[in-house]
Amino acid sequence: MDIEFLSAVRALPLRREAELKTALSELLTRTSGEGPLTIKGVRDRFSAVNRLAKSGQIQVVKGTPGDETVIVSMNDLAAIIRAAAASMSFTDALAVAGFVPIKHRLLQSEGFKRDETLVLDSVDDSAVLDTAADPESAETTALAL
Amino acid sequence: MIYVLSTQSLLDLLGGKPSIMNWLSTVSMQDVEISAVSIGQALDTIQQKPNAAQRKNFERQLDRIVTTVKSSDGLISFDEGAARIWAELESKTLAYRTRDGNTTELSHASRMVVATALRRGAMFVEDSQPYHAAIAGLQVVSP
Repeated sequence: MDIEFLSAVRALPLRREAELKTALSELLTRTSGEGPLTIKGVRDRFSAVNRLAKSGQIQVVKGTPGDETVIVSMNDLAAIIRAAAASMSFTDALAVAGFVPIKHRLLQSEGFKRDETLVLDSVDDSAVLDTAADPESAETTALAL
Repeated sequence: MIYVLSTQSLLDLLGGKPSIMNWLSTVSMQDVEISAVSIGQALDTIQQKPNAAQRKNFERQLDRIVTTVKSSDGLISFDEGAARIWAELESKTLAYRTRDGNTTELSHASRMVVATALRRGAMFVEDSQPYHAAIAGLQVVSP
């Protein structure tokens, strides 16, 4: 996929839907070079159109404004989505997700109290050796502890 | 550059604090990360609100923030590497200045969040705090 095309995708006005459609249409028309294909044209030479799309040349099929059809390979679609996501600011993404800030301040409480419930005691070495040598006494030792 | 929000920054975002909102409008969504520990701290803070409807609203908006962050793989678990860093932070005296001007120590959970930022090699997003200078290698941005 053409790097200039991906750069142009990053510059699209993602938050303004009407402007986005216009800008996207202009970009795709410019990229496809020959202008939108007719439905008949696509039908008559679909293999060639498909091959061009697979090779990274996006194909636009004529339609009423906003209803044009775009033929794009899966690889290129993934690249376009990545490029669009990279251009989106965090607050833009939040707005898309429907986030509305609540005009109310929340404060995190801080404070440090050492956990006294955990213990690291010293162990009698001889008891450990006995345990290793005699598995039966291990149970006894453990119970005694 | 990756940015990890402190829990207070996450709460400030939830509350629509202008400075954090403006700053986040300049940062790509792919560069913002939140520690899973902060989600727990934020929920804990929300649960202390007496008004049920308000709690519900906060939780709904927090979910939207989490969904957004997760969509770019920005929700970070507390892993072994972070745990090792956290253990070092636990041995330090880390002074935290509260909004009312008092000073307390940084909580265990907040140290886990800081450890996560250090583990990620990320810029930590938080208002300027006395403890920042006590942690070598901690990079901070204060919107």
